[in-house]
Amino acid sequence: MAPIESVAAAASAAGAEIDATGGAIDRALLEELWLLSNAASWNLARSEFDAILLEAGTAWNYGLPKQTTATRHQQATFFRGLHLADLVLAQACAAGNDHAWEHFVAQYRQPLVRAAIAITGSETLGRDLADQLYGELYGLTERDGERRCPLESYRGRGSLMGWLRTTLAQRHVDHYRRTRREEPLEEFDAPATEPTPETPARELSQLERAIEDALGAQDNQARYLLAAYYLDGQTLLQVAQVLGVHEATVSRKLHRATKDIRKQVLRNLQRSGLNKRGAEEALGADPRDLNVNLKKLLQNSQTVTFKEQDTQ
Amino acid sequence: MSATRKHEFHPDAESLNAFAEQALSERERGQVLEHLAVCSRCRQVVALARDAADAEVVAPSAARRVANQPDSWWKKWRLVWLPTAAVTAFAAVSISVYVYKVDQNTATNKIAEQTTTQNEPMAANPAPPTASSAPAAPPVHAAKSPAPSAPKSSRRQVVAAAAASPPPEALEQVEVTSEERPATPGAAGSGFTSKSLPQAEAPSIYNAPPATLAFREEQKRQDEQKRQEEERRQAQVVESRMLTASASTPGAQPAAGNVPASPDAAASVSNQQIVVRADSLAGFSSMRSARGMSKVSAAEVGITLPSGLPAVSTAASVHRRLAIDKAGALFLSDDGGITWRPVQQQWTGRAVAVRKHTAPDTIDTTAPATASPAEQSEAVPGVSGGAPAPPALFEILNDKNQMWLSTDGRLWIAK
Repeated sequence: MAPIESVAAAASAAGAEIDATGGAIDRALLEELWLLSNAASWNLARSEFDAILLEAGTAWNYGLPKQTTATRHQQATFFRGLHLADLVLAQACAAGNDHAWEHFVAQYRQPLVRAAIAITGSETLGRDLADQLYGELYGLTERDGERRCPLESYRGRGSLMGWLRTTLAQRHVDHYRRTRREEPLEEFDAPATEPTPETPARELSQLERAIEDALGAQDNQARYLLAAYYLDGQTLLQVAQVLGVHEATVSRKLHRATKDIRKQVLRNLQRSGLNKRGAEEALGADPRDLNVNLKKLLQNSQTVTFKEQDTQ
Repeated sequence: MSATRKHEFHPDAESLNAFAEQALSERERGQVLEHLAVCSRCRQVVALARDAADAEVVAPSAARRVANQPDSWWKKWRLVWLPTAAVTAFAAVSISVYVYKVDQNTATNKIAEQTTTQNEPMAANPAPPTASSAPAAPPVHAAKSPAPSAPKSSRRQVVAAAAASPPPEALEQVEVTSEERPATPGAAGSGFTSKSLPQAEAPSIYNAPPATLAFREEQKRQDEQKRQEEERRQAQVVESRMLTASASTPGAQPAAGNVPASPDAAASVSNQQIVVRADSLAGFSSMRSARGMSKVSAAEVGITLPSGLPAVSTAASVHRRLAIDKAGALFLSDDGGITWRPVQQQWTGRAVAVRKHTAPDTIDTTAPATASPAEQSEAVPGVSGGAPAPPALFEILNDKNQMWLSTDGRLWIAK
């Protein structure tokens, strides 16, 4: 509640415009958004609503890169793209509004349980996961002596239900990975003696280097497609749904990516001194003879994500 | 900063959710995609969240289907059951009413036939029915309660005429076809063809009290008396013939009483006592003995005629024999039944019986004792050795109880 109150106080002092990171929010736009959000239903004050919007805009910088000042048009576009009703409900729940909580429970409690069951694949685990998250949302956990509610971090870029599902998935994946590391090893199988590779070691090293270079040269989408399809074992439909495209498009892009990688590997091999025939023969080497960790290669990308850019 | 350390910072749930919901700008989307390309954990989170969203879309619709399906199914079938039950109930009531009406019509027909039969002699008497004519009423009561063994659904109803004191013809069974039955009990009164049945008496028939057990017993007793009287009379006739035959045959031993003189004679007696019963399919189920009815051997009935049908009624005079087959066609034989010729129909309706008409007082009891058993079994009166036989008179009865007469079996005139 403290950040909202401070922003609201600043907003009220600003007069017709609210200063927002170098820009100003139009009062008329705020009035329009106030009416659209139905924030009055949760007993939110107008100043509190303005503060919530200001927080969301500031956290995302209105969808613009850092150090970029949003114009009024960009602000309006950003605000109109928000899920305002979900945003004010989540913030009202985080603020401890009983009426908002009643509405939240009535609208999201059962979907939350169903989503958890779908994510875990087990009703028992799903209910446990949902109950755990529900307890966190209700503010039962405290950090540094202060009651923390995850709903405070919701800014309305996506739907509240989607946010809840993604949060559940995060908790489940983190829990799974954590517990899997704690699992004892299965039966120990003695490794078979490695056969002597038929391809000379020099050529193998050239091939490994060529593959690494080819994978590193792929763009983000191609590497995501390769990782999701070949490493994670997702179906074309699942990949297509995440990317928001048709699965035929995913299939075509995957085919193109593998074709490009093959061409790039051949080109890299020829660049390293092999002729065309030698390069093709090197490509026919037994994959088991190669010491190529595709997962590691894909993860060792030299690009930096936007979050890391933020932290740098 | 190593690659592993770089990607320890994952996009938050809102960024991943906004990416999955296509709510990010191109720049933001590229950044998240770049992270997803190298982070299996976030790919897995996004994929799981997406699967949960798909399951959430399917689950409510499935739940709605499950919730709605029983209601819809039940409502649908409940709507079907109501008219089905109504139709079934209506059909049951209709069948019950129909069966009741059929029974009532049957009883009405019986009453009509009996009343017609009994009123024929009354028609000759111009005196109006008074209380003294009450004995005619019991048959009405008797017919009011049909025999329980009679099938209800039979299209051909055979009604036994009750005979308190009816003429011999009333003993014959009368066939009532379904076409002759009135459609309704109310129409039954107007549907009677009897001239002697007063139209005004019809309602009293329905109002008459049902037959009682005492009345039925009385009727049985009267029937039994008549049957015994008839048998006694026949026995007297046979006895007189036997005595005559014994007296006219040289060397014949006089018989004492009614004991036959020879086995042949005994066979003749026994055969003479057999009463011709017309086949029920031909309309006559029983023809009991009556005055003037000829007696034919049982073997005669088994004759197969040129039509291929068995004979149902035969009559004979010397070598001339007449036979009616099941179809009602008349055949004539002049050589004692060896060859048969069809006789052109000169009567209306279907012939059901043929007989030789002889008055009891004209019975010739001078039949030769040397006649063959077959001849004796034919019980042909009026044939005596040497003496001129009186002209035989054959008569035919059709299915409407009308009679035609003929002396030679070829030319028939209505009686």
